[in-house]
Amino acid sequence: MKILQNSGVPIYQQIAEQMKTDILNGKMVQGEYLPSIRSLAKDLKISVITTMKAYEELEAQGLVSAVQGKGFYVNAQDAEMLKEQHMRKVEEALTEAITAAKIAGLNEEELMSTLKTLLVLSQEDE
Amino acid sequence: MDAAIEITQLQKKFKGFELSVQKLSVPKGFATALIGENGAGKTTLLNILAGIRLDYKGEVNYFDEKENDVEKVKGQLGYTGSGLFFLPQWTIRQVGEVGQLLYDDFDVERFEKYCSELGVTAREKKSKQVGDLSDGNRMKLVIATAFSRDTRCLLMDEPASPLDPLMRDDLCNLIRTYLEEGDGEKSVLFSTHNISDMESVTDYAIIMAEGEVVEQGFVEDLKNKYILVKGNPQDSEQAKQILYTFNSSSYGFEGICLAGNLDRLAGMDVSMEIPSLHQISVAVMKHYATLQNTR
Amino acid sequence: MKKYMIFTPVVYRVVVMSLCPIAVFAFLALQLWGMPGNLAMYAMAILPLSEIIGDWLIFDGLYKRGEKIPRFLMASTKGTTLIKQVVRVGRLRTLLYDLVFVGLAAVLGTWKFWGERGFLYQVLVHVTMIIVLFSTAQLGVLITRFFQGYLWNIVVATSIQWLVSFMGYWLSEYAIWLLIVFGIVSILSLLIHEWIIQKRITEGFFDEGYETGV
Repeated sequence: MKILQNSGVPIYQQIAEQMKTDILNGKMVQGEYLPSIRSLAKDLKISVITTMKAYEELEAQGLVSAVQGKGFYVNAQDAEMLKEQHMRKVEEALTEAITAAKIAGLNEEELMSTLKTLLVLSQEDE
Repeated sequence: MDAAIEITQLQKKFKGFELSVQKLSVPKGFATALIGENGAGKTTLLNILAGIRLDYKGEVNYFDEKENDVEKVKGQLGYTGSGLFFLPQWTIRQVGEVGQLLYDDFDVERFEKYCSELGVTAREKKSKQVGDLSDGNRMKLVIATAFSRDTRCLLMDEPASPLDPLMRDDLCNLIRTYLEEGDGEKSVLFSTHNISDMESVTDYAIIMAEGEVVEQGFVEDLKNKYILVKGNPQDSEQAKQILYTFNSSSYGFEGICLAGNLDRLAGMDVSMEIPSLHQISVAVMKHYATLQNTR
Repeated sequence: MKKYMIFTPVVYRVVVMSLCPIAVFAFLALQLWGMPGNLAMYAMAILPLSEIIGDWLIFDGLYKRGEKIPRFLMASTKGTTLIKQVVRVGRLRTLLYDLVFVGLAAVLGTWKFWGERGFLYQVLVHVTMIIVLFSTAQLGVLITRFFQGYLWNIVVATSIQWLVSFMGYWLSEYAIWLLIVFGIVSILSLLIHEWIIQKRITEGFFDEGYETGV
């Protein structure tokens, strides 16, 4: 986890966002407990209240739940929401690819064949 | 919020100084900073909480049991401070031995470990007398004794002041480890007149001036309440009326604005930032001082 | 008690508690070669001297006004009783030392003379010596604990030493009177010691100028 001290984005927000990403892309699984607020504060060398607020933020977004005396664990993620998140990512990535293709001077056919080749290759990996 | 220490109607008057605290709670499981200038009353307050001074009126309740007899909880409090802490003719080794006499849970091995980790015995032998130590090393020795026991609350009077910057960082780490070990049951209260060094470990802030508490709260909440605003010179006059504290130069103005007043800045070209705890403290103390002057 | 030993620095233990008594003992052993008993007082005057000066090493300025008890002790529940106990044990040790060394002097040094003036007389003389030594040491320590630094320690200690040595002159003839006078001095100084240490401890918990009627 990378925290930027002077970026203008509050530290608790940075933590929340990075954890959110980890949760949504499956790096942290359902039922897994987040590190305790104090040990996270110790590792990141920040104050306890900051980690607590980050976790409260995640809780408010429905990503984690708090258990009295045990900590915060990852909620089962809404399959639809996940799908939607990833759909958006696909759209973003493809838009980027299209822009890059234009700059590179590729036309629609060349772009499509590149995509097909890559798909075949990734299927072979599986 | 569970409180480690609850203070009610605390009053102490001496030598032209009056300490007056209506209601104050030190939250449990967190690191609280007592911020204020020299003479604001931090040491006076800490001395009372540590049971070193008994001359006050009011009530102090400790921990969940709401114990108000400090003698009973001294064994669970870890006090550190300057002033005469050890007899100057004692050696470092004797300090460890006296510690064992004073507290049942004083662990000499831990004491020696902290002494060497903090750097007290790194260059000095154990037969070095306390009076011959530098201020920084003496404070480290005092801190070592506090950490060599099992305590529920640390009360530290300006622990960072005699330490060099590298050690201040280590102190913050020590505090974080202490809180982690306690998992919500151990608390730390430390005083400082310069919060910048300890900001990264501070969860809750209590700002004092002239014997009174002028502001308190969790740091994240305070950062929502006080906004750092910067703007252009042409808006200076108008901003001056709205801002909580105000500084201006030919390049523009800067100051703290209360969150509730932000909308009054609409229409001005301003930038808003999250202030540091240091900036908030300075603003609060300045504001208080201005109020005092106009009385 | 062990607690007392911890309070004493190594130097103190070597010099005051070991060397001086040994020196005195050696000197007294010379009595075997026929020195009169009252001259022994000159030798034993070293005991209070070393006590007073040596006390500086442990409790320099303990009774001084405004001198706070170390916070390490104040911040703990056992601290105040600890310091009181240590002070008391110190006093006891002084007494015991005086008892032992005078006792040994009695046995070794004046053994030959015991027959001369009667058993009771010898006992009286030796008890008086103990009391004189003890009370003067206590008195000296009492006075010097009010001052920080070694200057006053030396002044008072050497004065006391002269006093004690001088007593030796009168010992043979006026033993009873000396016993009474110095017995009273012992008791008084003991009471003052106790009172002072308790006062200093209590004062430590209050700031100067505290106004009770807020």
